[in-house]
Amino acid sequence: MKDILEDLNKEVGVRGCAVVTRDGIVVAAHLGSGLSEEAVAAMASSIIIATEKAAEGLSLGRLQEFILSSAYGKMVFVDLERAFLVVVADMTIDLDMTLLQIAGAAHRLRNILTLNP
Amino acid sequence: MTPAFGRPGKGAHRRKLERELARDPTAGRAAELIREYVRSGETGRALEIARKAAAEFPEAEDITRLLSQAERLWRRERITHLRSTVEGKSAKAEEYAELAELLNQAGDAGAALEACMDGLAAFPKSPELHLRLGGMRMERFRESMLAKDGIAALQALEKAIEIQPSTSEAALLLGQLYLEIGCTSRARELVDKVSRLYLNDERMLKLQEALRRAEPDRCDEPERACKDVERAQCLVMDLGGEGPHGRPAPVFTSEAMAARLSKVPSFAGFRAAVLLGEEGATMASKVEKGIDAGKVAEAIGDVIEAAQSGSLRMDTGAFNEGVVKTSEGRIYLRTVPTGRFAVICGGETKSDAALDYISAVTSLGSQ
Repeated sequence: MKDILEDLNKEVGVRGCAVVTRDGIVVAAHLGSGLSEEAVAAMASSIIIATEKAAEGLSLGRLQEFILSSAYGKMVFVDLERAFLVVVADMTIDLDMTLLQIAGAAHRLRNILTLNP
Repeated sequence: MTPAFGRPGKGAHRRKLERELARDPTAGRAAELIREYVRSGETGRALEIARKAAAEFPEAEDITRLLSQAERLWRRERITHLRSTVEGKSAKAEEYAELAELLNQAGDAGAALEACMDGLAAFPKSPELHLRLGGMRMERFRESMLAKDGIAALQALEKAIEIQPSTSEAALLLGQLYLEIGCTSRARELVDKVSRLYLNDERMLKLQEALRRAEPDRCDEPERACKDVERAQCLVMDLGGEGPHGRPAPVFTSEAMAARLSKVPSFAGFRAAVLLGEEGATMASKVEKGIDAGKVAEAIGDVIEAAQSGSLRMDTGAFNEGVVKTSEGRIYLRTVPTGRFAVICGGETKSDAALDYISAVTSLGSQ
């Protein structure tokens, strides 16, 4: 998992990434300076819970992905079934390109989590 | 170009009018003569007379209107001429610069920028073209308040000065830009260097006066200052306060949005659209049968609150927009002045259709 996150972290604009459970437990993380595991986990848990609840309340099924854009950066949350991949990026990220890398990383992480329950 | 009433024109009638106007100048005679020259296609001469007449009869509305018409016609002809010139191989940098300036005056900022860029491709060391580019980017920055426009303006003006340190016009513009973004010390430094070239110049006097009243540096790094301006503008727009340069920020009112939501046709898979105010209250909504608007607003409000708080905690600035993909649909979230707009749609929705819908509603929403 560390290797996959480390590779993802090499993408231009990525500040850090982590695998976090719904209740905010960090399974693995590779974060750049300025990002703490605790802060990322708390932020991710709060966003995931609110979004899952909204999806359920609006009969939209299971949350798969949430791409969030802010003034100076972006965040991506991808469902790994038993946890979520969280990517924090700055403004320089080319999301069209990096989303492919994120999807690839999520696929590999999902396999690892399935094989190692 | 020295406008003069007494210069003979073509045709007996025009000559007669010229004589009469020279002998007894009135706004009516000047207007008739301008119309004659416009009719005969001599727009350069028409413009000369119109400028002179506008200076002599500043209260005459007819003259003001004719001057504006003559300017438009002359500009159009000149643009056509310059376009054909720059297509040839012998074009000069100043011709590109003039073309850019005229296109900008004609309101075609995109084409003006393109002309500048074409010119710079041919003459990368032309200070005049860098100056024009900087000036246009600066105008755009004042309108858009987007950091990228401000940074492009800084770079172009700095380049103009680097190529030709005596380019005082670029220094004046750059000084104004520094002041506007809060880099006061840099503005003072630059203005001190060029002020002697602008003795009694109104713009320089105004800038010096503004600098005397200016607050200390808000930021010493110009590029970061441009980003701060963009960020501050987002906050101002969110709060519904003043927009760029004191203009009122566009505001989405409940009534206007409700009207627009009912006018813009929905798309296949559409379930609901809601506009939430700053406090999370529903300002306007449109929902399909069987969907509870209150429930939608509550769910969306919670997501936005979490997204906003998460963005700030990760130091990525204010939340702007988001897309939630689920197994059976999507939620699109977008920040609009004074609130957040959300569209909920089912799995059969094509993302282009949803995005077109959001653009149609939100672009009409400002007033």
